Amino acid sequence: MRFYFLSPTSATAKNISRLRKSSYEIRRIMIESIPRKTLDKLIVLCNGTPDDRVLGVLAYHLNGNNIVGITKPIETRLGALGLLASFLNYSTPLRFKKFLFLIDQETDLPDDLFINAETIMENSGITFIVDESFDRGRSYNCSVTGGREFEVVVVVNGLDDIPTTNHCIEDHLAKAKGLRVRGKSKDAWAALSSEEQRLVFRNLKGSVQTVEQLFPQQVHGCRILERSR
Amino acid sequence: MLQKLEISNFRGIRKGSLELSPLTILLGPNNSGKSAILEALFLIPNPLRSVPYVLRMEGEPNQRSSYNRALDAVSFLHESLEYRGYAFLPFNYTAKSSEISCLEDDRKYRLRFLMEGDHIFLSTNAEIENTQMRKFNGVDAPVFGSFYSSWGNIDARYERPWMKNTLLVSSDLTRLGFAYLKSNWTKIANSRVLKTVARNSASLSADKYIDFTLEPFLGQKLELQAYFKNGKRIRLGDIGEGIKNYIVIRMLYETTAPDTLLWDDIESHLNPRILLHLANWFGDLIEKKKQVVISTHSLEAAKIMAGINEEESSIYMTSLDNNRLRTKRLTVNDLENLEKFGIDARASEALLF
Repeated sequence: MRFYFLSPTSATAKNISRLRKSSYEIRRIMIESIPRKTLDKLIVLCNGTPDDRVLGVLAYHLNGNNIVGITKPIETRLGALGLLASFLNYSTPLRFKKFLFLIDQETDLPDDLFINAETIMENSGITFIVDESFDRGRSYNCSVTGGREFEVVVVVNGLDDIPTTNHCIEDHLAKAKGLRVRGKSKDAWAALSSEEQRLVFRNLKGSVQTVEQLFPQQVHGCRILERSR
Repeated sequence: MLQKLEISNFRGIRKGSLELSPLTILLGPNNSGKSAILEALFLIPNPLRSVPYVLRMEGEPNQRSSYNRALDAVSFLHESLEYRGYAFLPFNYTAKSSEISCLEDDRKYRLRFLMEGDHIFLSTNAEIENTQMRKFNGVDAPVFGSFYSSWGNIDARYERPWMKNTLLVSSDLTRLGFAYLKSNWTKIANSRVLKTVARNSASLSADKYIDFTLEPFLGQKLELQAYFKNGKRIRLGDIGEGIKNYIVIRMLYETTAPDTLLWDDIESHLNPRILLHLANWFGDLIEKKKQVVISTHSLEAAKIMAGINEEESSIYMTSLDNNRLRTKRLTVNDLENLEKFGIDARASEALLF
């Protein structure tokens, strides 16, 4: 999977670009110019960093023929989903056919997040049916007035085997590093030096199997995004 | 007012049109037709008219050594180390004719470049004198000038603008504008625009200029200088690039008073404070029924220019689709909504078109 940054000067673009060790690697995870009318998939990062760096690693392992837009809205968590309806107005005729929203679980239950996500879509005039449910993930077949159809995938970051009440992407990273989490995984991850963090990402780039084990819902969400409808 | 521009087979644009507002802001990626639009608007009042740019050439003993036509200035922008000339005018270097038309106060003016071998002939539908009828593909066209597609003398039969005048400015053209100011200093000094420009530019930096002069510097060479209340002087060439560009452009504008100001890459060398100053200046020009068309890669510039002059302005994203000019009109609100979703309008060609 290769990313086309919808804001090339954003922190997301910078953080993902910093993962590279060579120009070959950067070409494997991002693309600067794309043929017209080919961009039809979008990843929406509902939380910022290190979610963006994790996605960079996933992109490194996934099929490089798939080009996906990536954006980080100002609103966080489900607030980002609330912006979807107004975003759709700018993409006419509807260019994007699939959206993947990556959201930190935090103190919510995943099912509560899905219910809230569905309420937000309803209130935004988006009708939907659930297409697929998986652990901490749900995909929806959606449509808006005028019969325009698209797919929304919501993936919740967090792992049950990390003993915390505040689940987020750092659960996965803490597990990758083998950290014993007491309290928040975010704090445990932040306590590492930048060199230690860099080493974790470098190791993740080394093994697709490890990535599939540590980030199952994110990998599955990306694969749904990659599937042609 | 210029209402609509239409382009066919000109530079990199095979076909395209653009509605114009009192303030039109062209925002778009590189190679999306912004500069070609500005050059078309600069050429349409007559590419053979004199403009406030002096292009000096060395080593051309049999030709005049300085050039000041609109066509020369545009040619200068396309000059490369190995190439000088006008071959960039026809689309893809090979089109047999190029056309720029512009609707001004409900009247449509047309400028055509008609190619025949190495020659480019100029034709217009404006009612001008001294034209010569010539057949192109079996159709008669009134010709008012011709030139070789490579550099050479221009046979000019009509050199006055036939519609309201336009002036293209950019940091690249500043050097030619500087040469014009030096060559025409007496006229400019007597026009009393210098103190106005000094007052305006003094508000943009810590240096408080009160006037400009042309005085000997080292080696008795005459140099344009800004001077301060205490008598101290500084060469214009030694002032920071942004302020210097602004001073030169403002002098050129005040001296020639064009009806439409065209500014390519407006943010080049300019601090946001100067952009705010320019936005207010453009507001003043619009009130005086003048028109401004700018191109920019800066969201800040687009938002500030359009935000201050909201009712009179349009922002257009431009894009070339198979050499066809595509435009999408956006408001400041649109730019801000896209930003909320993490999208930079300048880089959203893949999304908006």
